[in-house]
Amino acid sequence: MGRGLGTSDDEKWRLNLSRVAIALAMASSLGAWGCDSEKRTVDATAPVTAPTGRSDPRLPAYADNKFQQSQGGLYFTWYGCGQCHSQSAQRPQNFSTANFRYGGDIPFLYQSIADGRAGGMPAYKDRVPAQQIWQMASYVKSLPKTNQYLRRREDLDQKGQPTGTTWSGAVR
Amino acid sequence: MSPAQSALFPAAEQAATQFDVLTLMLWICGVMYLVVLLFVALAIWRGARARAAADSPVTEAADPTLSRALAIWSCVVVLGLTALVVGSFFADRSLAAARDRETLVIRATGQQWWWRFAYRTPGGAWVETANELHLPAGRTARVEVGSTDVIHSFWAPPLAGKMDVIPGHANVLDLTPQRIGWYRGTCGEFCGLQHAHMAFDVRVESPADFDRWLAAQATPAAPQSGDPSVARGQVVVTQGQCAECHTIRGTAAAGKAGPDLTHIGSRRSIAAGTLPMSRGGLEGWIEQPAALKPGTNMPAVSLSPSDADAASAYLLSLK
Repeated sequence: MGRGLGTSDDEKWRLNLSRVAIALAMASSLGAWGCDSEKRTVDATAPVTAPTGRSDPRLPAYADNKFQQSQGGLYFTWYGCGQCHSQSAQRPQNFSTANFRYGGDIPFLYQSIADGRAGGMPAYKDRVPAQQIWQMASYVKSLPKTNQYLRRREDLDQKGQPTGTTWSGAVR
Repeated sequence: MSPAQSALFPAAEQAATQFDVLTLMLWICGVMYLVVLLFVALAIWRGARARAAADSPVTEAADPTLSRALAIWSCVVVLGLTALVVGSFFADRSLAAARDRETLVIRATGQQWWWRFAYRTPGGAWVETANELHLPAGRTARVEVGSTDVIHSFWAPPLAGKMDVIPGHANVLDLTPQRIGWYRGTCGEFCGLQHAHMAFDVRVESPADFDRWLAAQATPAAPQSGDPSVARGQVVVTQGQCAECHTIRGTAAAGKAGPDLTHIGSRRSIAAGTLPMSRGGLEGWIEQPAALKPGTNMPAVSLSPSDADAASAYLLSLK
């Protein structure tokens, strides 16, 4: 039936009513689930010590938190971690699979970054503050769960960032 | 003394050109606005007079004077708009015109939330500084602006209009400052939490002063202070956590992510215009950056109070 051709007032009224109902349902579902933002901490209460184990109360704020992961990715780039490691399979020490030799949870990853590991990984605890190690551990933990398509946005974000000690500027 | 961050007190050729367009627009639009108000007043007065003369509405006979006035007014509007178009065309042409560029090229990079400035020395090397732009009066500097993260906008109102700072793309802006003094620039495009604390100082100085400043900036760091804690501070800063992001030329600190600190003690402000330069300010910024600038990517470095004090003494001595 064409719109406006022989449509009675009653039908029009019902059509409008159903439109209003759909709009209301969409708006209320947006309010119920769509606007639930992730918690992030930008205040001065940052961790200053290593995680104490798998039951550390600070873990939930860092594990699976997108903000902390993206900050971790930023520092991963800044500190030049990519010179040896990569997120894809291009370099020997890649994080694209879940095969972490020393464990893939934040406490183990933290230990690997802070104290170093045999085989060339240096200790960073005197060179990088604790909060950044927390964030990088969270970032590395997230890597096996992503792939190049899911990471596309993040890779683009990190593309122009300074890295290591030989970066020569965004403007060339 | 003129305000440091006002487009109404131009200190460079480019800002003066734009100020001329603003003045032209103000006069043309101001005069037209007054004429419109005059006609409105006339209409109100005529309406009141007509109502006083008769109780019922009257139909006025066509008034040839009014028709002529309307025709003239239309011509005036077209003339005014034409003047504005011509004025802005010549201003654009003058802003885009090739100037005597000499060899002064400056790279300005916006980063959340500070400015990286790189100068080319007469020897051809690039020398970095941050949050403080020095320009020689009477010479044209070509500023190439770029971004490492999001879109910013380079805006020093007394010098020129805004220039968008786009990641992955270099925009170019010429600045020919004419008036010696300190000015203030800022980020003109919302870029995240600390957009409001992304300012920079601009120093316009005589060419001789500028050459001296650039030569001093190109030298490696040399602490200038008799304070006994400076030596300890140098160890803390150049061999500790600061060195991972900051460069202090002449020492082991060679990080690129943060501002170059080789001559930080000679700058006017800390953390992109957040605090004035002082030893206490530096110490507070090192110990609690997130309390002063929430969201900043500068991490809190956990130092003992005596080490933090020594670090601030060392940084302040880097003139």
